[in-house]
Amino acid sequence: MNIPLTIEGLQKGYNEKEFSIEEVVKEYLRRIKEHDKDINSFITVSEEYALNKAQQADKQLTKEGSQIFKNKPLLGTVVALKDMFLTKGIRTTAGSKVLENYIPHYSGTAVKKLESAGAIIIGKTNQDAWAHGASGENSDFGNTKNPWNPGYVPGGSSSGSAAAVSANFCTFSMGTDTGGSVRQPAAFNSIVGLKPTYGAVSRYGVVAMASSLDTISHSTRSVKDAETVLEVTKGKDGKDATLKELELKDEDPKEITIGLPKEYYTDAVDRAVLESVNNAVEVYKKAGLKIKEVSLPHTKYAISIYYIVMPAEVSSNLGRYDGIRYGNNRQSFAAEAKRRIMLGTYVLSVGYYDAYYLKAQKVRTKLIQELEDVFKQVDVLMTPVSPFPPFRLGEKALDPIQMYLADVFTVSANITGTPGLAIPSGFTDNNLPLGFQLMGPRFSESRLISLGKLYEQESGQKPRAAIK
Amino acid sequence: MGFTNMELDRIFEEACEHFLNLVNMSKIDKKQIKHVAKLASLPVSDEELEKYAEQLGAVVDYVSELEEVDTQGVQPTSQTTGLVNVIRKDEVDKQEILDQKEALSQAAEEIDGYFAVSMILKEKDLT
Repeated sequence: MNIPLTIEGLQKGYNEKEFSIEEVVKEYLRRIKEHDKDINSFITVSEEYALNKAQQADKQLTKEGSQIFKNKPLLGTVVALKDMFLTKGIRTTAGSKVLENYIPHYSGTAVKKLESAGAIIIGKTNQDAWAHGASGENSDFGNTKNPWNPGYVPGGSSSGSAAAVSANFCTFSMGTDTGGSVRQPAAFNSIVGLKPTYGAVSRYGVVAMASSLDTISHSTRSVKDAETVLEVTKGKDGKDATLKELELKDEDPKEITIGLPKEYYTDAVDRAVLESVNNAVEVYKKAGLKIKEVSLPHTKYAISIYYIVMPAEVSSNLGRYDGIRYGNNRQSFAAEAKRRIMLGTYVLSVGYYDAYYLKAQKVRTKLIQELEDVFKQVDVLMTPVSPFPPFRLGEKALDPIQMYLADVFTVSANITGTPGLAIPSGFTDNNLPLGFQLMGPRFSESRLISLGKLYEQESGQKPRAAIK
Repeated sequence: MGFTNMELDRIFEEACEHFLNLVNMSKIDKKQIKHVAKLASLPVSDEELEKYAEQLGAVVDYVSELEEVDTQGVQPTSQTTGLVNVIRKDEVDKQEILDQKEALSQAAEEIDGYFAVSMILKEKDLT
């Protein structure tokens, strides 16, 4: 059978009795069995759990009819969760040997909300350990490969979550985005990646990496699906104190002025990436939108701010893993986690705190002010997601400057707590995925989503799967 | 073919060396690194000490570019929500409590219903 690629398509099939939910789950499981040995996108596949839930969902659907989709907007959809999401009774590793046998006693807020909305968990996806990485190569469970071309990386750190969506092993997936970890792999997999505003979606029950930057995010094959999932995951839960209510509404995209920050369009960006983003800009121009060049001179400091604030918060969050209450001891941390713990502890230690951590927090304020000023001139910003297309496994690990640059266009959204939406925009000559990013002020998700939909409509871009 | 952690480690080391040559950076004192490892309660071998002295030095050198930004009178940002003093009712949700058996179920070692930890006092302290 061919599983429809969007939530709408899937639920239409259920309504018209083309297939049952159980049949769809079985087909996803069959695809995983057949293809994931080459991709390695899952650490744990929850086959029995998913089949049970599917049978229950089929019964509910038969009993209540299509009315049920009003209360359960994700009924019959199948979700793959990055292994950072705690799942009651299902192993949760964070991609690290420290948690290789950890079975949580509770599920986090996002997972509970997804399940109440009818989504079925099919498994836990591979990732850079503790979400430290931009290529998937830091996983303690072997690297994930790009379904479009297994010689290439899928991006990271939500590597398996992105690959599972582009390979059509699930309907959508959840990830975490601390410096670009959902948007960059989305661009590398030709799927949609939405990083909401910091404070829109609860982080409760998700392994913490850097708490002032971590954002619960998701990957889908259409912008509409990204909106549908956000409608479910967002909102206060009384557990994560950073939350505010995000309201989603219809916005007229034709009224929007798009800003192009000139610091994001330089010679350092790969030519194919620039060309693709510029083509997307043309699509908006043709649709009658106003385009304006703007400047964000402090953008160049974003990486430095990130490489101080992030490891500082990492070292603090990873301090809890003592191997006493759960998990293995600190001997089990692999090289990258150790490096970040050491760096973070160093910048927070007496005598260095002011020079590094405090200084970074002050420049962070400047970056926020600068962005606020730009959003007085334009409504959104349009930029590349990653400065380069997917790279070969092992290739970037040899060049640290290039590796740092992987995050250069995505970290600003995390540092400033603003939303970012990655949208596919074609392929390179070698058939490797490309994408662009829309950024907006805090809680402007509706604006980004309406623009994203307009792009899909005007460009005629349809959801695609990497594996037939 | 993927990389093992050891291979990745080696690649990173080579990359850092390459990076060091490029920026001509300073190395952090090994004694200091040892102190940091102790603060982080991280088991670090002598070999790793040497490695981190160089790698952390490289990163710290890179991020030192922030010095050139004028931050006179600028308030630091520790979080971006603008929220202050978020409170909730101090109520116990009985569904969210782990019982003793559950709480101990993931422990490496338990003794009589308690988490077992390494001894931190010496015999003589106890008498």
